[in-house]
Amino acid sequence: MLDRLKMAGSVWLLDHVAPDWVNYVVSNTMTDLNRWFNDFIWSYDVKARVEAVVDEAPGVKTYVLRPNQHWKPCQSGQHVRLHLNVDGERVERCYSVSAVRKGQSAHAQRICITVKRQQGGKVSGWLHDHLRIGTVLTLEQAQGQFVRQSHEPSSPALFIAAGSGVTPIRAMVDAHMSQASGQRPDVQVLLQFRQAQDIIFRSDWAQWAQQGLPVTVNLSQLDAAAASVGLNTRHGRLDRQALQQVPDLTTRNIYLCGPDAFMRQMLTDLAALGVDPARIHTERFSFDTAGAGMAELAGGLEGAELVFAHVNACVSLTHADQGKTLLQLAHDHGIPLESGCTKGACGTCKLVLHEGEVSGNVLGRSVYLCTSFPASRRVVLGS
Amino acid sequence: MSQNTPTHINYDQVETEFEAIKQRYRNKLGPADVRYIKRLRTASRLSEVLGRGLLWISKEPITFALGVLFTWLHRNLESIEIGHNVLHGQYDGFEEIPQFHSRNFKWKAPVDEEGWRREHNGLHHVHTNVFEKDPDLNHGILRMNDRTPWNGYHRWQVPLYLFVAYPIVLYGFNQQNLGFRQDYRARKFPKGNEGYALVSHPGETVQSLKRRHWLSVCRVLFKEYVLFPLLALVTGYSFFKVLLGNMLADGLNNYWISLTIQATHFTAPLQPEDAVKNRGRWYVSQLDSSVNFRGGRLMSILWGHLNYQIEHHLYPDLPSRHYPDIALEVQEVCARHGLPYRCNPSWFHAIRNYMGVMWKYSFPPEDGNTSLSGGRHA
Repeated sequence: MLDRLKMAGSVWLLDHVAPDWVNYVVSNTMTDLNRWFNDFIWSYDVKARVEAVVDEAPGVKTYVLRPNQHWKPCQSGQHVRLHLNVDGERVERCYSVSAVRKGQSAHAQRICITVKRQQGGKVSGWLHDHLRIGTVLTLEQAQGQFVRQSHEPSSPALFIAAGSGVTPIRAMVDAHMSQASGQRPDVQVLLQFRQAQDIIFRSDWAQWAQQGLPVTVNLSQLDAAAASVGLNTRHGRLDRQALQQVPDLTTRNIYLCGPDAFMRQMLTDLAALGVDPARIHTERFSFDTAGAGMAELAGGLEGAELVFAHVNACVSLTHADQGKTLLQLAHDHGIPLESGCTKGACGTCKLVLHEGEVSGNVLGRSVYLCTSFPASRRVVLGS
Repeated sequence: MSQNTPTHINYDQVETEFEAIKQRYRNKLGPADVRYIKRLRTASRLSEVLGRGLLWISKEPITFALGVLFTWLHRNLESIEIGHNVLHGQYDGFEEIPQFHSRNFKWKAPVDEEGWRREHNGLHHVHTNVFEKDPDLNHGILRMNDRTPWNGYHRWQVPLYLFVAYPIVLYGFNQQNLGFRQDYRARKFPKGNEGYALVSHPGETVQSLKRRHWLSVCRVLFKEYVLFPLLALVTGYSFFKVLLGNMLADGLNNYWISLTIQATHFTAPLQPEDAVKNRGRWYVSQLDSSVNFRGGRLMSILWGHLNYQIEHHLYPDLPSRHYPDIALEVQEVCARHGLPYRCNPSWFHAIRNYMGVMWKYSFPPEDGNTSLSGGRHA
């Protein structure tokens, strides 16, 4: 009872006072007593309280979260890392922010994450079973580079997503649709799901379609329910034919997210249709590291060059650098590069391959430095 | 280099030996250090409760004096032994105490933490005693070596610092760290900032810096000069007695800090700009710029272990409680290599020596040439 009152008070405070001021007072009164009394606000961590749980589709839930004063505004397409305690074990998982909801006052921001229960997934299953209204999560600030390209804000775009990959795409389309209709750039959305009942965020897509957004949903298993969905549906997987229907395909910035096999297929198809790989931006949720190994470099490693163009740094490799990933090579040679999960999933260390070849975790021209290796004597990476 | 430093020093060997000491003490860090910092905070809190309580209810001079003393003790511990050391990152490696991590810690002092870390950790401790790079070499309007151009303001530096600056020294730190003082010098000094190091804050406007300054100062002013006097007033005790008591504790704290930090630095010889490029050479430059003074272990806590200024400059991110032990090993290395290790016999001697230097440079150079003179010598 007291806990609920305290939490209600904390949320009221956060909704009505700017986070900067809350932080000023809280950080200067961070006594052990205060931390014991209210550890939602008097905390050094970013925390969020589950305010609502929404069933999006079978096995898919959206959690509406109210973060504390440490939360900084995020860009659409970014993700958050949750720090969880699952069955006594400390685990971390990243989830895309699928929506940002504004509240009644300027500071009353809520964020949404959408979690699909993976078969045999330890964490997604735990979240579905244990996250209730009132649960408090510890998380980190939003991160990730899967965002609308800021240097070309009005260029046409194409959003392609399948399955749970639709979460960051929804956030980006949401931001797009919140612009005034006269100022919106040309945007097309292609989605793929298995059946009509599996469509995630169906009501959102239907609403936006009504507002003029060109959305096509590809259903690999068409069933009777598809007709009543209120969306433009197409039977069959998203394939080259469907891509060819998109006008001005080669001039668009393409944002792609979905299961690995789907993305690889898409990249092949897009390349075959003449799309410049530099225009394709991807977000990957997981990576099978079992296959990633270092290919034996023709000519040996000694004297091979590794260039990080965006920080103007060049590394000369030696025999001692055998077997190291690109990220390890950078760090061992004193180049501070950003990294996150170091497991090939979050994309924080991702760079674009400008010259040369790499092996391992590569998606198109995007290289996940933490799980890939140099595969030519000169490799140039940049932003 | 000063007369005491031999011309042929094996810098690589010096580096190896000093690094070995650092590694040995890094390996010793553990729960005892966590207990130490937590106990310091507990002592500071108890002292605060006692001191503020006594000031609140005191009706005669003895309890009032005791109140001032304990409030001073609380301010002292929070300022130096806890605050200064925590902001060096000495306790960053211990996961269980996020409140003592340098990026989380809020100093109970009117100083902006980020500005402090940038100037103190990033400039003073890296480019120690490098002319026009170390802001602490000549800070404020001081002239502490003959390379800085002399002007009329310097004539007054001894009485100005002794009677005006020292009692409020902490309130002036932001002026230097956030760059306000250098604007003043640029406008008022005939040669502007010649001879003084500059600080920069990329990405910040003067407005945002001033805001940070006021936020850090007001939290102290509010607590000391508004909150506690008001609490006394509304409970039937004297507003002005508590105000006076806090003011005395504040002034005493500032004075103590000034005399501690100023007395442990040499402002000559100056170090070369590339001292930081060779680690061994950098270690020697730290030795050359610092001077210890003797004191017992308990008193060292009140000085924030800054009486071990040499050890602090060699190893700023090792928890300060180890400095007395490290000192023995450092002395031994210095003796073997003929390196300077200077120690004043007492705090009084240290203050007297420093005052002498301040007095000397408050007057123009003998040759009457007030422009930049060459040469670096002790």
